Amino acid sequence: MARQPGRADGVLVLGGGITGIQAALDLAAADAKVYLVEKSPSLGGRMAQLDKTFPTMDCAI
Amino acid sequence: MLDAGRHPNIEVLTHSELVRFEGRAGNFKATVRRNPRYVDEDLCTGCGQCVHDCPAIVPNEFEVGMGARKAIYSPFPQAVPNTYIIDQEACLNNQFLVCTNCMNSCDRNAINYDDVPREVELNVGAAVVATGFDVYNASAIAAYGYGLYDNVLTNIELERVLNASGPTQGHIVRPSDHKVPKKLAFIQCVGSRGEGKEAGCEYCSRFCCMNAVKDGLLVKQHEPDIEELLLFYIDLRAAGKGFEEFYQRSFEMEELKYVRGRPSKILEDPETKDLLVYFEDVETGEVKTEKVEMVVLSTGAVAAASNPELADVLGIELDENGFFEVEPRYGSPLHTARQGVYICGCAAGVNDISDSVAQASGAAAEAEKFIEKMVVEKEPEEKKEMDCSGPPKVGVFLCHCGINIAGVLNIDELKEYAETIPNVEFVENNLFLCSDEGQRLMQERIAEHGLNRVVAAACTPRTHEPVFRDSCEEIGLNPYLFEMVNVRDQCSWVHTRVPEIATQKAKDMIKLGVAKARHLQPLYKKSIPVNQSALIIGGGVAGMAAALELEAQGMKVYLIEKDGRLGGRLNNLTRVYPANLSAFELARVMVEKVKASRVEAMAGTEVNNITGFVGNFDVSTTNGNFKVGTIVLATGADIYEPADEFGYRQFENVITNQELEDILHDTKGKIQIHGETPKNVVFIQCVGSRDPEKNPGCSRYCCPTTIKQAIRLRESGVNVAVLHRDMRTVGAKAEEHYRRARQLGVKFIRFTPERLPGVTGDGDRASSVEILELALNRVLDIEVDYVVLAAGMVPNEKSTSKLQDILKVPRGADGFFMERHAKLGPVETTTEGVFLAGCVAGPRDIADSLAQGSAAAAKASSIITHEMVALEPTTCIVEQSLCRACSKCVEMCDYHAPTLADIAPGLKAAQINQALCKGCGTCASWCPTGAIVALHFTDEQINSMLDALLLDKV
Amino acid sequence: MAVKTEQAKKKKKSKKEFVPNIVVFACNWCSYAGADNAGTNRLQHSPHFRVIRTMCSGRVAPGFVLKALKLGADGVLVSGCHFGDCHYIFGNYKQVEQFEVTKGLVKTLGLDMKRIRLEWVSAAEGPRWAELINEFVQQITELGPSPLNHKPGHK
Repeated sequence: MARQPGRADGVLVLGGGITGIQAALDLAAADAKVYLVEKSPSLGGRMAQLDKTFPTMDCAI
Repeated sequence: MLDAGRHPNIEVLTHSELVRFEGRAGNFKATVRRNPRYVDEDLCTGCGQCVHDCPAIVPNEFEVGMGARKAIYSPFPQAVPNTYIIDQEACLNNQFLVCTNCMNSCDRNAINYDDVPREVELNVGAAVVATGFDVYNASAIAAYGYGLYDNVLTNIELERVLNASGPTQGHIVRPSDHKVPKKLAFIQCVGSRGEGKEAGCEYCSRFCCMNAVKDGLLVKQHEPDIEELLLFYIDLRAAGKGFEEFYQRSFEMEELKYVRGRPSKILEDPETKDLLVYFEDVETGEVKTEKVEMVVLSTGAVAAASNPELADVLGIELDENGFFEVEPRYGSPLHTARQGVYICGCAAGVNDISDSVAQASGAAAEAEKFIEKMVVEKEPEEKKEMDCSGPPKVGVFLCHCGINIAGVLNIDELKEYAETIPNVEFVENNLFLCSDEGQRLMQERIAEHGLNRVVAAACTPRTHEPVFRDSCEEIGLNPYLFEMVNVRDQCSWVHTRVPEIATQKAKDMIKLGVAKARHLQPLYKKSIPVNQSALIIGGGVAGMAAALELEAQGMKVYLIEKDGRLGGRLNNLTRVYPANLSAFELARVMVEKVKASRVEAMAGTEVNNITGFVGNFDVSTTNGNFKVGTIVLATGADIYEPADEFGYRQFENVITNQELEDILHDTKGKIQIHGETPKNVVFIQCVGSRDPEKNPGCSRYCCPTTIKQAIRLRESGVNVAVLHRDMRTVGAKAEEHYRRARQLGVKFIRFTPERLPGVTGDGDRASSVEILELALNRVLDIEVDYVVLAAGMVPNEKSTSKLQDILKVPRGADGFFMERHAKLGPVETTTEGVFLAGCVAGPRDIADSLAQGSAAAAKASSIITHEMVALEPTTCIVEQSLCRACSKCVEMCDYHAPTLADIAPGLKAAQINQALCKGCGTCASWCPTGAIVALHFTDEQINSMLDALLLDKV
Repeated sequence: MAVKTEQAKKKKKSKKEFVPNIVVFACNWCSYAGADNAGTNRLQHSPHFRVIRTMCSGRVAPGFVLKALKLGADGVLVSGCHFGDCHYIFGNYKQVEQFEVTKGLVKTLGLDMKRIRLEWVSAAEGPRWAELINEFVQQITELGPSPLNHKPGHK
């Protein structure tokens, strides 16, 4: 793979909800260093508040 | 969530904000402020003793104020990180009352009242904005009385009420008297689709319709005594994969009644606290009332209050609704105007979960282009593995977990007991076994006593087994010789009130652990080389987007398209909503990009066959053979071909929206159809969609397409009427376009599937459309020059079934490919290394297809970035001498791991492909001869546990 | 009359309280996680069961259930993921098939069918896990010791 010198190896992901977590996991799986920044004290975002999700009724956590 | 907290490449910075962002794509300097938690994340074990001792109680925001929490708290039970935090506003210390209860109760000295904000500087190549949305404040609509009337709740509050671990343990009760309401009402579009600012935002919040349908069903499940559930709505928007089918199923629930209309006000009976809902009956136009005992407001989503500040820091713009603005140039919803800053989920506008997840992966792929991948550290020199062939010498380590375990179980008694179990060589207890110190001691003891099997009686293997396994591996003990016994989560925490019985149980659990450990065998991870290239099947927008992303990351990409040219459906469109981009331009730009890139694009090519598995697929096409490590399916879908519905075959002036698109494509300036300018055009929606016989699902793209075409016609002076069941404005700005169409004078008239519009005419020309106008209950006859049928989207039967056969990717009842998970894995399949992009998994528009293309690229890249893929060794293997080739295992396995092979002339036996086996062990339990061994869960291991437990024999 | 003797028997037993010996097979991804969730939420439930973890409910061969009963277990519970939630796609469906075999064998042993049960508990259903355990322990306690339970102190 072509390497470009002088480039950072990290990615900043803002927001620790389901979307931010997914982006962070995908980046990490591709060997990127990820900084996942969340304003509140825990990851999880809105989805952690939901009881179940449609249409499969899986639990949200 | 837990995965993100544990991934070695992810540093989680919670309670933190971005304060500065300088530099350019590839090399940004980001300054993040870490706000003080007052609890040291590294020291806190999440034992919860401090919470017990904290005297300050405040409302819990996670339970939307319905529950309570302490000043020192963990936001919710599964929080990541599982570290407590002190709420300064609630802490007594901050109110000049000296309280050091939490500090005193903490065995680990993790509490630090003098914690201060710290700034950290990070060097990053790109940024992904995924900051989500805020919930609309329902009290802004005074007429609904939220905040004023006790029994008016929001949908988020209802979610918490429904949750078994929520404030009411899952019981639905009215806040006013804690009784189960007999009659409830859901009110949709609270704060959404408003006209004018005081009623909230103008757009559709997209998720609330389905959320209300789901909650309706759940409410009934939780409280079977509920007699009536009214759902007030304008359009029921079930526009997502499987959503329409889900909505249709809800009709089976008799108590749930759908009422069309937006209630104007709610009044409370001050005595009974019942609620009177005023609404206009759309069918008759009269104002009616319904008395209910509880109201749930389906509040919409609004832009996060923190957006302006963050936009400022990031140097990007906000749109008129306060969401981050998407750069329209690319047609894809992931770009901002600043290169290197990408956006996904509800930060850019409202999206449902699966679209948000796909966009997240897509944004990840975009970001990957601007970073230098980390060089994976080479394993330190081969460690000498400890010899474990001799008789088992088991070490048992007992963790106190502070007082979590030791506060209930009698550790001394457990220790004494463990020493008596045969083969146990050494027993020791530790305050916190998982701490660095605890792990170091464990390693020392293993070496000192020559232990060759290790049992830890501590917390759950689901979170901590990896930690202990790593420690074993570090000193050369095979990590699969470790066994964990969960005496915390499944013993001390749940049998707290019966400590003696719990201790007895823990003894049994340890005995079981030792019994299994005695039979554990070392296992080794195998690595297989990965072919670092990708195959994209389908050269439409989704396929091209995936190919370009992967190419930009430096991967070898093959892109095959069965048609003679790239571009797919884009070639047949004129303009693409929402930004009114020229479809031709978008297609041209993308095709040019593909041609200029190193992507090996092959038009007029089809797949013959594919064999192999993740990392190693052998592909045979009509244009040569090659090997790839991963595959993206982007073969799109077909447009439904109407049979004789609405006079389609009979009248020449009844056309589909695709045919209209072709006409609009060819006409420059003035709209002409067959040389004449039409005066009256009628659109009929849901042709070949939402029809259980033909295609049960909603095709999603047709409502916005019709609106787009209707506006175009109306602007040329044509009279346009749209006959529809529900106008479903999915996608960015679609609701705004819908409003614009109405303002321009496009008529929208509703019909029901029971009474379809009728098209009549003379000879080969349709002249009028008859429809029952529900609102006025009268039959309308609309004169027409043209009737346009909004034809739905259906799977391409030929290519889909062929790929299904070759790759074993399952298809859903609707015929589209099935995702690994409808919400959390929208571009993944259950076949490892095979991904989906675009309409191949269900109808979607151009923007969503582009996002999915990028998302599939991110997934594919996570496989082919690596030279090797490690295979988990806890698979199944075949003892071939016992196999009698009955092929039961071959039948059983959904991953096609077992096959029958010739092991000698005329002698067959099963063999299991280790790369395909997931280790579920189902084949082992079906094997009639016991030839299949489920490694790490062998018959021997499980039987010895049963012996130990029931015969007291270890 | 028969009823009376049943009652008489029960009376006798209550002198030395019967504590059932129950084996629970729980799949790693849903039910075991659900049991953990009960722990996280500190949901107190009966302690009279012992869990054996497998990766998938599909791994629980009829032979394991049978062996447990033969060795004197008073009840066996097999617990997996809800349909559609299986980590291995259809492992739970296969357990349903296997469980039919198990039932046949239990019948042959002459044991009450209520001694075995197949249930689904998801990773988030801590409360359901606690409820299920309580219910099953209650059910087995009511049935009394298994006729195959020869442990001293049980008869």
